[in-house]
Amino acid sequence: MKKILSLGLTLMAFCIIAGLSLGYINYLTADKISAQAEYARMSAIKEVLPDATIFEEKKAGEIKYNEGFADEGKTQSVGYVITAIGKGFSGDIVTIVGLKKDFTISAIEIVAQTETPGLGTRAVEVAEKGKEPWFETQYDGKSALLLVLDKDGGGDIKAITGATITSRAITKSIVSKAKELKENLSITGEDSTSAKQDTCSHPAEISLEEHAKCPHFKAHHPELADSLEKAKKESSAKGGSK
Amino acid sequence: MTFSKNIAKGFLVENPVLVLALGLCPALAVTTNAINGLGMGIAATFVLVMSNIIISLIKSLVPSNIRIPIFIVVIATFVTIVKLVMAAYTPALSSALGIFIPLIVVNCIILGRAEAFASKNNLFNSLIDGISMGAGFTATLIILGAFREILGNGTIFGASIMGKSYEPAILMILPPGAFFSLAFMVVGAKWLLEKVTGQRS
Repeated sequence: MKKILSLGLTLMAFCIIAGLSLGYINYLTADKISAQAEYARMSAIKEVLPDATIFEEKKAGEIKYNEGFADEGKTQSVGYVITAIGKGFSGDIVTIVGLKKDFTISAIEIVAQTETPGLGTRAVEVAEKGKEPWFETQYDGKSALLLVLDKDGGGDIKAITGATITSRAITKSIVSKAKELKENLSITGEDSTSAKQDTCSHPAEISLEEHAKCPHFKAHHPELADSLEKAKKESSAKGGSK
Repeated sequence: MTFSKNIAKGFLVENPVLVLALGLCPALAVTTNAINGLGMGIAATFVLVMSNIIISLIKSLVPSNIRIPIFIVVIATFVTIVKLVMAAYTPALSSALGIFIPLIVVNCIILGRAEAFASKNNLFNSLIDGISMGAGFTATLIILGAFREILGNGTIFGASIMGKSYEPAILMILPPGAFFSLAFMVVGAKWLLEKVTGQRS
């Protein structure tokens, strides 16, 4: 009996020392770790919506999102940034998604994942010749509401070979979060298609670039918008950096 | 055991993966390419060396019949401390190694060496044992990862070497490929061992 008690107490002593050391190290590092996570999140938000200079955290219904503005006065909304969380192969995958006002994706960035190295982690790998993660950049310019994997019925999102679950989780989480945002925005009336945003609020003399930032630009001047987009695509294809 | 035998044993004679059959789980799971093998090897070596040192220091305080839980507590605590400190002060390295760090806790090599060597040998020898086993583990993982990467992806350390016309054998980077590659390496190691020691095992 004494023997068992002494063994138990010895084990307990070791565990107490271990627990205290862990608690102490955790206390020392907790602030730094959450600061790093927040810094990574903010950098990701800026990266996925590069046209915006100021971000404001908002809530529409149950969903939190960031709205990006091109100007300090927060009058020219560039788009939204949402956080999509999907159940990957081995844990949650957190993706920051930049959406333009019409819910096309400006960029995505996967900020947290614990997928299998070499398979699911290829979602964030940088291609050898290019500089951007190929899996993430393929989402640019597509409508966030209509994303489908090539494996799930001929969609245009290329799944990673051997990591279908990872690819599907990311794609579906983006679609569902974007849909949720769209629904909640329509309810609160902040939708870009609502009537009050349709009127011209810019001076008559305005440069094309400035004009393009107005929310009504596409609706009022579709041909101008199209030709501007084509010109942008051509200049970035010719080797402009992101 | 002489110093030279002690420092060299981890590479062939007592190779943790190929001869002692320790640490097979991470060896198979993360070696989908060479750089993963290297990353895992380095992280595990660091923990192994430190764990051997600590356990060798406390060996006289540990009652024999509860030594296993105590070793596990020491190892898991140490790995968690490493994880927290890296996440706070070296975030770039921490996210590069990512999931490898918590995976080290389940690496049998650490517990295996604690039990078989560090708890019975002095500090210096335990330190050398840790370095040797860790280096052998890393080398094995790099070779395993490189083999699977070349056949399964046409690249090595991310650089394409098989040319554009090579159709990668994707199987090699999936679990079955891991087992095949490991089997070949074990055979290779045994053959090499025979040549070196002149005995059949």
